[in-house]
Amino acid sequence: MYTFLSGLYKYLTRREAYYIVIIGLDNAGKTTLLERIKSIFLGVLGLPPERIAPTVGLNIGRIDIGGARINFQDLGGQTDLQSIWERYYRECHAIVFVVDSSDPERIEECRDALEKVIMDDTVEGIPVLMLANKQDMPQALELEQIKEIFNQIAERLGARDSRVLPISALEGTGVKDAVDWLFLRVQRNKVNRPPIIISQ
Amino acid sequence: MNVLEIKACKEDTPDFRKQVNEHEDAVIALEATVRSLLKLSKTSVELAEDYSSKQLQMAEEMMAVAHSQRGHDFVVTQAIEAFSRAIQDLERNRSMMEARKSFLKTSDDADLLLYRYMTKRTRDQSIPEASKDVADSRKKMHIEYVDYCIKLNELHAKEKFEFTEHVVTYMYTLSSFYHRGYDVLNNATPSMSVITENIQAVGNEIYYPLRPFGDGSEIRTHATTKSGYLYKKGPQRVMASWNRRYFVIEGELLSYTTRGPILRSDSDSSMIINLRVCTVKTIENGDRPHMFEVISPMRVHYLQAENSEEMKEWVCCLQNAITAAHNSEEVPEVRGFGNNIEKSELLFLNHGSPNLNGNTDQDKQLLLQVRKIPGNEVCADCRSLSPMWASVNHGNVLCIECSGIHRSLGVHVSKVRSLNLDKWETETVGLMLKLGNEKTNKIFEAKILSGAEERWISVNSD
Repeated sequence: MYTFLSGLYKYLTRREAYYIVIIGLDNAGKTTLLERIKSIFLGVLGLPPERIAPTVGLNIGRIDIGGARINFQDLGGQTDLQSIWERYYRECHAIVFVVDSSDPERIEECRDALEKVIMDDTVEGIPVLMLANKQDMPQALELEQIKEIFNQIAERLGARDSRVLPISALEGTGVKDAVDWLFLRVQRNKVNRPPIIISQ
Repeated sequence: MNVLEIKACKEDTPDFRKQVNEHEDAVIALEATVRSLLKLSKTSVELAEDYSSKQLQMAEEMMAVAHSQRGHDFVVTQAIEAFSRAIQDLERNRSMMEARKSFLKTSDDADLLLYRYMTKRTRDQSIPEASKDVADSRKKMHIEYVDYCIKLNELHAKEKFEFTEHVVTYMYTLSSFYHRGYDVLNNATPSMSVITENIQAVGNEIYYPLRPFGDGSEIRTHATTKSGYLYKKGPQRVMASWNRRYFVIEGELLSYTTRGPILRSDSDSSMIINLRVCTVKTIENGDRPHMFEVISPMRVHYLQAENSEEMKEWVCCLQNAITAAHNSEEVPEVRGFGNNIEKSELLFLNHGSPNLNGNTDQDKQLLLQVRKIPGNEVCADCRSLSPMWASVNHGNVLCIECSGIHRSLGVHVSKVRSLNLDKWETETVGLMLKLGNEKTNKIFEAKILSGAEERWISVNSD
């Protein structure tokens, strides 16, 4: 009887948890994006942007949306830290690749980094969202320009869900749309990567 | 519990009887408690005596050891003597305490027995049966009754203070015993610390020369030479045998030989492997513990170390030797593999140790120099120590917090890179070497009033 009741309780209170990694070159705005997501979905005040130091290691953000939980893992983007990205691919349900639209000099470097991510076998079939960040900056590249650059590797994405969205993590524009897109895709991709069931 | 009213004896009301009964019950309960207490204390005294005698014996034994050691080793003798003396003192103390304890217990017991004896005389026998003796008996009964009640009251009162008194005395004795024990041991503390030092000194003297044999606990991770015995899997596919071989890493060669004279054919008993074309891997979940493999173009050598530390050290040394071989300028000389040069070159490409951030050693050296430029030992903005970040277009060095502020200004203002986590172009490093915090701050902060301490931005100021 106890087993039945506790099982029922667990069944009724269980939730799906998804893991999403946020990667991208250093200074792309990954931590700022995470802080913005937290402030939009949790209503708490995020760190002010000038207080955000380079991430060495990772930051974690947890939000609840539509009865499910999404865990964001924001990894550091320095060249050396990129080598640890791949350790997170196996357990993630989606990848967010943040691009600094205001830094055209590093767009090539960006493309190379993303290419390396896409080539990884463990990433196969996982939704990838590219975010053209810093759209608030006057010198920022247009979405079309960024799309053009990333279309070069688009064919490798194959049947995978992918999208390029413009955002400004600083001002918060487009962040909600990006998270909604991610939530839709991880749910759609449930068969390939089943969510982790948590009871809470 | 209320004190019994002596006057009420005369009336002998049922209520009063009830009270008397209650008192009797209380006395019986008390008796039972004291009895069990007595029994326990007796056993504990016996045990303590036993323990004490054993401790004394031990102390004596130690004395004997100390005396037999005399002349051999001064330190040990001193230590043991001091220890045994301390124990003896302690035990002497303890025996005194025990005498006290048993005395207390016996007195307790005596008291109790006396009270029981008194209370056992019951008035019931003297309840009148014949009418002619009524007056006589009643009188007698009253006397006894009064007596009984007085005794009960007395016991009741005594139970309060005498029992607690005994308990308190017992606790005092205990505290004084432990206090004296503490004093004795406390006196021994200086000699104990002296002994510990001596032991360490002597221990170091003894163990230090042994280290090369014991191999210590540290793992040499930077060494490129190593030799020792390993188990090697035979070449047979099925039912492979494991043989103990002596392996030596020498430069870029790993060679192994049998211990004894060479008995079998030359090729099996002694072999040389060129590490330049090899790769080393540990084997998890192999059929034997602590296994690792050396993969050469010709075949895979399965080796087994005696323990995991040994295995780690071997793997590290082999990898270091391989890296060293790759970095050396010498033309690869492939021995023991015939003409497999093409193959070996392929492996060389595949298994070269990856340089994590793509910085060449030369660049790394230059980056180290950047950190040594005058002014670069502190952050350009907040002066905190050992900054590890840099603004590439400003040419100055920053701490992680200030680098965050720089990044928030946008890449068109400041381009931040990590000194140890990022890839650097040689030209950029050259620029960094030309500039440095001292020079750049003279430019960027030229208009700030000189001498003002406030010009240093505090990271924690919001």
